[in-house]
Amino acid sequence: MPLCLAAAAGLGAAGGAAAQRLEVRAGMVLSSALAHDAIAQGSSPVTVRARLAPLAGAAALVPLRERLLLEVGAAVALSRLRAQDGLASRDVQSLTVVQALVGVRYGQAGRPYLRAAAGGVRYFSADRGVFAGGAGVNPALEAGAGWTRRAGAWRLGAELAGQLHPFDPPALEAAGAEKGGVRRLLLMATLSRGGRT
Amino acid sequence: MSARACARVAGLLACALALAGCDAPTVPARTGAYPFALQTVAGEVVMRWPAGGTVRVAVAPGGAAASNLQAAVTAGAAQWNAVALYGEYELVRVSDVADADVVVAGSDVPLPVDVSACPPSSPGFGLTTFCLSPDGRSLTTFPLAGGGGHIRMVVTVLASFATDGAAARRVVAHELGHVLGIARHSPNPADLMAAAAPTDRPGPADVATVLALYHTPATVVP
Ligand SMILES: [Zn+2]
Repeated sequence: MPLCLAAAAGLGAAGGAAAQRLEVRAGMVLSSALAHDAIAQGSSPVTVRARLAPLAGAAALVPLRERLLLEVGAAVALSRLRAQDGLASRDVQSLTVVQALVGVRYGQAGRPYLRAAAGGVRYFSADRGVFAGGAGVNPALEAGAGWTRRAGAWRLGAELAGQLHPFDPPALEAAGAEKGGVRRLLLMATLSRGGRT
Repeated sequence: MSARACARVAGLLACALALAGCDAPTVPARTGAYPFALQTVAGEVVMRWPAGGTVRVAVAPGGAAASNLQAAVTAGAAQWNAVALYGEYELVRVSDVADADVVVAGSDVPLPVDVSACPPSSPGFGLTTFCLSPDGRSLTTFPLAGGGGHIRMVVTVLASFATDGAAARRVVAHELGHVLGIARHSPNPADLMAAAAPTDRPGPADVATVLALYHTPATVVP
């Protein structure tokens, strides 16, 4: 069976009742820097980032119309904050990144699907350093592409997504940081069951 | 919205993500850092604990001011830890001198370590004492009275200050700045690291200095 047939069949089955399906996801997330700090004249600047991290999540998919699905999902990544200056690189503290997004998924028969979503990302970490005072919920945009393949009653798939969100925790604001954002790249395997096909 | 319109929105979002040149928040260089290097007969050296490490501080038991000093160490450690944005160091108060890297004592109590090889001079309000090892790359250890231990710095607080809560907080917070490796005094009398500290918390110049210290290569590591 062509790889994209299952995705096309699933997405093309919209319009009927009881076509909702649940998808679980697991993968890795790569993050751009969370902050740069010039420190002081004559010293070595610092960059901090979330380390490459495992990610797990789930999403509910509800057909809206032919080829178009509503997607409501959440995921969590377990990472560590890593600081690097010109002298050394070291882990600073544990970091849990939780995201909740609502979006749409569009797929044309026989082709990979595209998806776009918006929601929030929140960083949980010990109340010190960059995360002293928390980090709030950051609005996020995500876009991705993927495919699924039918395997009996299940669908297996893979997805690549890019995410963008602002990042301005109070500790960085207090240090005089200019506003900025974070880009995250998510590579996930997906497994789903349900729907009409 | 039609499926085609949705696809266009998805495409636009994908493009927005790809094109967003949005970089991480950037903290500009702090100003006001003052010299922190230790002046020795061999020249200036930068002394600090290994970046990312924990510095354990115990208060010597005994004396009327021990509880005051414990509270001052806890408060001073919290003040300095709060400015270590990237986990440069962590000051932690421990109860047992055998677990400590640094011991704090009022000037009226016997020190729990043997300082004969590296005796403190008479303190002003407070004094941080340490001695370079023969190779000049680390500090000597003050042995505990019963032997052992790994105390490399002794902080002495004048008894009349140690018994006054506010004065003890000021002096101990200042001495903890020396413990971290700020080996000089700020030229600004408003700073915690001025020779006579008027406050018990680091000011902007103190913050700039301690961060600059911990992002400068060390030549002496306690
Ligand atoms: Zn001093």
